[in-house]
Amino acid sequence: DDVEITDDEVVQATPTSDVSFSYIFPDNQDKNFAAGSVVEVLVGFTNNADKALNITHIFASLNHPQDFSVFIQNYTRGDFGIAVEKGHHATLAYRFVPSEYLEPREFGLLISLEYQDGAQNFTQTFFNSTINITEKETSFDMDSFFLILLGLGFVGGIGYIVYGKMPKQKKVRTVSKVNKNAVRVETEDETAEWLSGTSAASSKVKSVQKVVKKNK
Amino acid sequence: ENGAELLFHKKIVEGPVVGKELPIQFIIYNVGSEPAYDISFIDNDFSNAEFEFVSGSSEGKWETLAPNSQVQTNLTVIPKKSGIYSLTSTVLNYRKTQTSSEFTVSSAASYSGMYVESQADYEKRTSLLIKEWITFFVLCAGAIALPYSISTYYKKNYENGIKK
Repeated sequence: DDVEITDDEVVQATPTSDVSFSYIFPDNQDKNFAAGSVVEVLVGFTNNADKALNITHIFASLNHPQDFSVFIQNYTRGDFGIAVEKGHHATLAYRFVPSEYLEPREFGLLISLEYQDGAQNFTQTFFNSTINITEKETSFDMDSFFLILLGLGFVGGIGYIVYGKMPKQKKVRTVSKVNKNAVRVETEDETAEWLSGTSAASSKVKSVQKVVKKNK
Repeated sequence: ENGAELLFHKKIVEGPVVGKELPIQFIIYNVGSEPAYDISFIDNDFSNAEFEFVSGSSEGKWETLAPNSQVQTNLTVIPKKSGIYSLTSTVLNYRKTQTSSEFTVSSAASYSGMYVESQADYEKRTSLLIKEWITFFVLCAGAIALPYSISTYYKKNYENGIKK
């Protein structure tokens, strides 16, 4: 049987070996996937068997790059139901989104296809390799925005503290001025009152003396 | 297995909306190790009364396609009615070798159907809600201006709680 071997794909017994696969990542042919953006894989399925086959599902998972039995992220299974006649070839598209919180580093990616021949179900992993998750390029980052906001808040707090010290000095001066004015005003009033009185001369003299003492 | 290996993708670029131009791309990738010859396809999903033709072509023909390369043709139509439309697997014929008399059949089976959104639903989903925002700000301004005017009146006409 002519079997196309993709990466480390293991050839199994008939009738699984009656199919061959090819694939391409149209927008990420260098296998660098930005976290949080849609990844599309085109899967080519060739039916070399003696009967029609029905493609039922495609699903994928992100795994540890050194230990593929460690699952990091599972992606939604895609339902298809595409019949491929004997000797025919079909191309399917499968899309998934790596989480935007993944760290930018290497991961293992497994993409599998399920098909059936009417009696039995078969699962074939046609992509089994490491890929690279990169950081998504974004002009505006929410994290940076809140960091700037925090910085502005910090600067505002410092400004408030510095400004808070200056008004206290001003207030002290104002109070002293007010006190001085009050004293002077009282003195003038008292003098005027006594001067304007004309009832008793002796009382006038005594009052004046008292006023002088008070001032001292 | 050496030879040409074509992947055929019928790509609907944006979500279909009634009255809005819908771009469709037919992209062929040669991921094999040999050139492919006499490549041709015809798509009939959008050549009916429900779609108004704008530009492009729903069929393509190429003499050869080199390995690790791609070729693409575009079609632009305008859907006239909303609802669910079935999409067929567009058949692509090509020859794996130049001398082979046998054609290899491939198909673009990415979509089995698509939903054409009505214009009202589309505008409801994507509208910037300009009218709603203006109404909101006008009502907010009213809710602030009335108490402010009352406060200003009292400041002008009352002194220490006693009317001048």
